[in-house]
Amino acid sequence: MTKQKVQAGVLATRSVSPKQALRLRKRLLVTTKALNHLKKKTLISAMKMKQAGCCKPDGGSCCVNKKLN
Amino acid sequence: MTITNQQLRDAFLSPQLKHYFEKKLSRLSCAEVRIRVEEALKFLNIAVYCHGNIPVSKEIDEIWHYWILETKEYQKLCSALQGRKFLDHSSNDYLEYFDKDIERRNDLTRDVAMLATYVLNYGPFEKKRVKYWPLAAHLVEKSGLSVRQLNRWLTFGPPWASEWFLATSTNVNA
Repeated sequence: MTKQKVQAGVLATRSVSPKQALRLRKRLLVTTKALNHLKKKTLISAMKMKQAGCCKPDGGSCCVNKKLN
Repeated sequence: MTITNQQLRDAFLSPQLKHYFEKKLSRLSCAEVRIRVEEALKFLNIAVYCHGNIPVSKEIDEIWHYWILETKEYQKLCSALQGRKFLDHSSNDYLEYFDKDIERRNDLTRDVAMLATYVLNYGPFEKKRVKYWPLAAHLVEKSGLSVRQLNRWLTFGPPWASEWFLATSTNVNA
């Protein structure tokens, strides 16, 4: 999504900026920090991660959670 | 200030078009047709910011198709929507001729941007409307996010990732 000048319609709308979209996307993804936190709290275990074939955060669809569901 | 469903209908949906959609989609209740038309209008009124695959479901695409078939009405709609330009529609089956991977070419950042743009302009997602926006539906139905959490994320609310995974873990143990 690029910042562009558009003619306002009858009900004018705005878009989020590319920077905001990236910020949101980043918050959606599973991070190593989050996984380590959950492991520390024993909410997920390294054993289950291994069973699920999960080696690292994979970009938003955490396979550990997916398979356990 | 967000745009309401009533404002969308008043601005873009004439009585004759309402009648037309209800006839074309007579298998559905009038309330369901109204919701789909409203979601289609929400998309079309931010479509000028959307590049690539459409971020709405086939039910909303169907409304778009019907609108296009009423050519005069569609032209009138386009001239009133944000951008005030003709909105082209292109099927992936057609675009596949130029790009074999078109169906798979998803851009998460772009889809996220469209959901955030939705909330920015129309307010939080309602539970019954989430299903018409595939990324939102995926996050709610497959990834264990509640609609409240979805809306909080899209409005740049406080960090919620741990809460999300806690909720998922609780479901696992239940």
